[in-house]
Amino acid sequence: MSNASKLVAGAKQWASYYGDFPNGEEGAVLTVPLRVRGEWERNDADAIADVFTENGSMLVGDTQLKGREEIRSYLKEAFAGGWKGSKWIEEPTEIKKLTDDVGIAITTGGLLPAGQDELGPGDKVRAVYIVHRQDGEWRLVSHQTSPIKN
Amino acid sequence: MTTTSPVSEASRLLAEKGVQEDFGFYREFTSEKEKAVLTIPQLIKEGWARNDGDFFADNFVENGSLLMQDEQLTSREQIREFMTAGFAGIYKGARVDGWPLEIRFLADDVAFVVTQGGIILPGETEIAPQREIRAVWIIVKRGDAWKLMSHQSSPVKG
Repeated sequence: MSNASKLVAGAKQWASYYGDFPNGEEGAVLTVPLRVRGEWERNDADAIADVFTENGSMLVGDTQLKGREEIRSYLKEAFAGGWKGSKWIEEPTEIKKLTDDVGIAITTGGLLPAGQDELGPGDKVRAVYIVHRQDGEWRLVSHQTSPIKN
Repeated sequence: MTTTSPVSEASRLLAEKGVQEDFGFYREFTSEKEKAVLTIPQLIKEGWARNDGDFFADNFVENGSLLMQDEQLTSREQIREFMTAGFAGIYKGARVDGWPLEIRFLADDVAFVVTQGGIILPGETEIAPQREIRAVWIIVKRGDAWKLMSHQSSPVKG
């Protein structure tokens, strides 16, 4: 494939991640999970941390990370260790805009370890993203996942 | 001369629902506005105590979301149906305990609340370690009252 057709194929693939919410207000809320997903593919802890608000929070297992800097250092360690080469994959389940500047995105997906093509049955989670537009930019206030047992 | 009511908004909201205010529930979150927001976790706790699916569901906005295990419920009526069946079945006699860890206002009428807690099954006196959860609540103001827009809980192992 030429570079141009690779770019087009990549863009088409990413466009499909918007699922049922390709446009408008809801799409704006969904840009936050998509940024996380994109930066996760690069295992870029700084870029993911920078999506959060300064006092943003993230629950990983039973560790409640509080603030962008705690998130940054946790992710750096994780991407150098057990999460190396991992991806974050998910589909939007529900998007809600609460005010002009506050939204909720609920997704279903999970952490895909390096070398795997799909999530194992026990790896599926429901993730809730609380997003807040600050100075014109949508940022992540809270990221929390809940395991789906099936 | 203006006078302010000696009754706080939180006390009024709870009294309207016939619920005894638990003054210890608020911990360090004791501003009038924080207390008013925290009426919602207290009312949800009361819904469990009464095993009453209607009382529980009526705290949600019409398009409210509740994640219960694998079920993502996305409206007040779905929540009502699910919890009414739950209280007649697997949650019969169960109650919850919980307490606030964090409150943040994302807008004047939108609050982000984190609580710790869990379900206490009949015969148990406290939350079993495997049932400890961390919950994120989005609570919004509608008219005079605060309502629940989204509730998600995640297990934390002790």
